[in-house]
Amino acid sequence: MNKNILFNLVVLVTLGFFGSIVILSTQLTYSPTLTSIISTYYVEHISLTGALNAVVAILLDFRGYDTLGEILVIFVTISGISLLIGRKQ
Amino acid sequence: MTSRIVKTISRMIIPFIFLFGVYMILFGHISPGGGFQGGVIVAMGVILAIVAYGEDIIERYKSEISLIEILGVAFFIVMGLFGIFIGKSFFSSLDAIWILNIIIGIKVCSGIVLFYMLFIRWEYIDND
Repeated sequence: MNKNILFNLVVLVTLGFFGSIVILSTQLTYSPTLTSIISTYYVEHISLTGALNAVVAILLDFRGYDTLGEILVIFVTISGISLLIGRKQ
Repeated sequence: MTSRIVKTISRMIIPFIFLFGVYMILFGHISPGGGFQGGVIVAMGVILAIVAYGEDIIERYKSEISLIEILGVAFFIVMGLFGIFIGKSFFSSLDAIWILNIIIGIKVCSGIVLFYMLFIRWEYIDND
């Protein structure tokens, strides 16, 4: 019992350490010029996608992998819930 | 189980919810909205029907809804692979955002309805 609590504590401290390192590195290497170049590229090239709505153009064309992951998340969630509580009795 | 007022009002309001959701899916590429939002609105109409009229009206279609949900994922990946067949990269621009919107709308609608059906069954089992 006591060893279990110690293990959980070690895991939590390790995760917090690496998570704060990731957050700090993304904050320190953030450059506004790079993101402004990307966003102006998206807004100027919407006509390539055949859509007038900029949000849908980015979600389904420039960032198609994001939408693929989004619908896979719903699929995996439904599979897990069905496996856990979906059966009769 | 529910009152006559709820049944009458939901019978009047459900066609308009479906109409608004389908409009939002089909016109997602030229006006605000999109497949995900329209699918959720259509699913809210289905959930309102389940709340008003009971779970029995849709319980026997549960396997078909699950099949539609799985086929939605498969068709989305096939649409991504179609870019390879015409010589471009995976998920390249096909000028076919409305097809992706329709696929995502159907898939999200069936997914949200399945969520609701799974959790309402769990409530029943817990109460017994």
